[in-house]
Amino acid sequence: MRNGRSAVKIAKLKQRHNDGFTPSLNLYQKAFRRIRNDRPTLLAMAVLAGFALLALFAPFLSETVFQVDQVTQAVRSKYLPLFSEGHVLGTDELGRDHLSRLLYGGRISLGIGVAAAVLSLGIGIVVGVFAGFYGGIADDLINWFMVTLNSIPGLYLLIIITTLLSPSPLTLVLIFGILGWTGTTRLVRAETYSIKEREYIIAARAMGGSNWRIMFIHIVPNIFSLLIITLSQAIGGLILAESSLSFLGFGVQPPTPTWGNMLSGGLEYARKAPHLVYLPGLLITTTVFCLYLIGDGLRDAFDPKIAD
Amino acid sequence: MQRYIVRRLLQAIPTFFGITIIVYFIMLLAPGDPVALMTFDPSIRQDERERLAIKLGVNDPFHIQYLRWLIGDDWMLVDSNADGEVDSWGDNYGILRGDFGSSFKFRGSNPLELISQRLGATIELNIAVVLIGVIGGLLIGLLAAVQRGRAFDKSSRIFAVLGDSVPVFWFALLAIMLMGLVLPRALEPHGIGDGSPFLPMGGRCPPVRGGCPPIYARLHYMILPVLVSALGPVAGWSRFMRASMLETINSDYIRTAKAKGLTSRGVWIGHGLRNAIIPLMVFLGPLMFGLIGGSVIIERIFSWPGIGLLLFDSVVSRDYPVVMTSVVIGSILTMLGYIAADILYALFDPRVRL
Repeated sequence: MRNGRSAVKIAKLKQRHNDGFTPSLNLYQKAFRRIRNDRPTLLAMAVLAGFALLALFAPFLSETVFQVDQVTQAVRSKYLPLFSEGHVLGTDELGRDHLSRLLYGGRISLGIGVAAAVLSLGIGIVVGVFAGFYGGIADDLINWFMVTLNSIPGLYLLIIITTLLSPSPLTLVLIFGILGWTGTTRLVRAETYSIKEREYIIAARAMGGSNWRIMFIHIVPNIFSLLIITLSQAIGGLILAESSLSFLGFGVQPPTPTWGNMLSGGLEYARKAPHLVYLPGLLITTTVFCLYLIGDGLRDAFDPKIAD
Repeated sequence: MQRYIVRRLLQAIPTFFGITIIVYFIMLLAPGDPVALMTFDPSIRQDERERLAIKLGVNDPFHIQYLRWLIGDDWMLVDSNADGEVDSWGDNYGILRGDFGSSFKFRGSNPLELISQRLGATIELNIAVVLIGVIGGLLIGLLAAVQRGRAFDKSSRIFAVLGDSVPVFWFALLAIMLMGLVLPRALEPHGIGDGSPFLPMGGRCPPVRGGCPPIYARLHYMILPVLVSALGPVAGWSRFMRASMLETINSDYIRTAKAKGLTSRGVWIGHGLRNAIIPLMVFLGPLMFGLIGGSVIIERIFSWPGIGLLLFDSVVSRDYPVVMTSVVIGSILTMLGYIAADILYALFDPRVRL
């Protein structure tokens, strides 16, 4: 049904094109066209989708495809190198299968990144729209709070809070979310400030739209493209932050695997089993690299002026 | 100009109080009560403990505790012998007058002194990182803008994104393994080196008594930490510079310069570069002092004795007065960094109306 309809649509567009019309595209269609021709961004999306699938199907892959025995640990078979029998990516310092841990760790690392980014973005949007829309004292107060929060070095704040709470993945998401919203807020606030004076907002108000409706039905959808870009960069930044915290020993505590704490745990055994260091680091770098590339690509796609 | 500076400094006052409130509130949530920490000695009697608790004011409401920490309690009567009645003046001067209490770990030392001993190491490292980061970034950005759309531009984009996505400590470790293990071993058979590490793997200077020698005698200790931490700044600044340069090069006065027949070097360097750098001044302050936060990781992996490492050690040993002092000082420095950046920007760009 859908295919049929889009085929008809395409046929119509072609017809119009032949008639000398160029169909006008909306922002998202234009962006989609540009992305379709942007090979690095497409590749990054594919890699990332692959990682996400691997993480999503971690239990199935580990138990059924690679037939890893997760229950019995063989202390004798620790520090096995890559491509050992039964352990494709070797084993760690306790004889645990490295591949399984990477898969499960990916679930948590990616999960923390995505969930925390969505949370901080959500807070950032709401606060930013309110501050930009209402202005006045509320805006000043929010601004003061943001300047204050930004003046405290981020890692310092994270370190003292995580020592006090010794976080599980969920609390880490909450901490990241609650500390990380200021960037989004500043962006949304500035955009709201300029959008709220435009004609279509005045039109919406003239038709009796409430403040609430104007903020979330008329303003937020207009900055949606900015938010997608911010989201992909925020996820990357948060995955890095998680790994930094883990390196210092304040992140999610073992035995729960995350790429960050696997990497920092592997540092001790770097000589005996270098793959414990290379692989998690490579996964973190690749994931964040892809996310940043996508962010860059999206920015160029939505706003080609910046991309010369 | 002076009025602008004064106004900018006045704006810092509410920020400062905000910082102290946040830091104090977070530390109040800390597990373990400070009295138990300070009186770990089992020979201390229960009533002495209670007296200490009252003296420290741990049972007071939050705002009183905060005020005692902030402005001291030598102006108020406190109950020093725990008999339920106030009888003597407090003896704490408060952080506004530089009294941050005393360290739990280094018995009785003033946290401010501990920090000022360490601050030099951090600043030395950060200045080097800023220099390398800014100069490297400007050069790469300039070249990328000149070569726009060509191979160098494209690879510099990939490099910049990659530089931002590598976990710093992982990169540091790879650098350490390369310079300390892999290269020396690989080159030894060819008669280069004797198999020992090419560069010092950590520390600020050789472990000798009487402190570190002057900086020119231990530059090789700085190479690895500086290069590793400069990766992010180089990556970031190359992008800022490229964007700023391209924006400048499209402006009217550049077209005029070209029309007057200037060489392309004269246009790019003489007219473009100087104007392209101005907007980047905004990033200088945050970079300089943003490094203070990131220095925890670099200082930890390279055992660099700066305030990042001090904070880390104090957090691990639950030395709360030192933790609070480092966070407050680190925040003040960051805040001053932002102010300095704004003032620099106004100084460099006469078009900014104050």
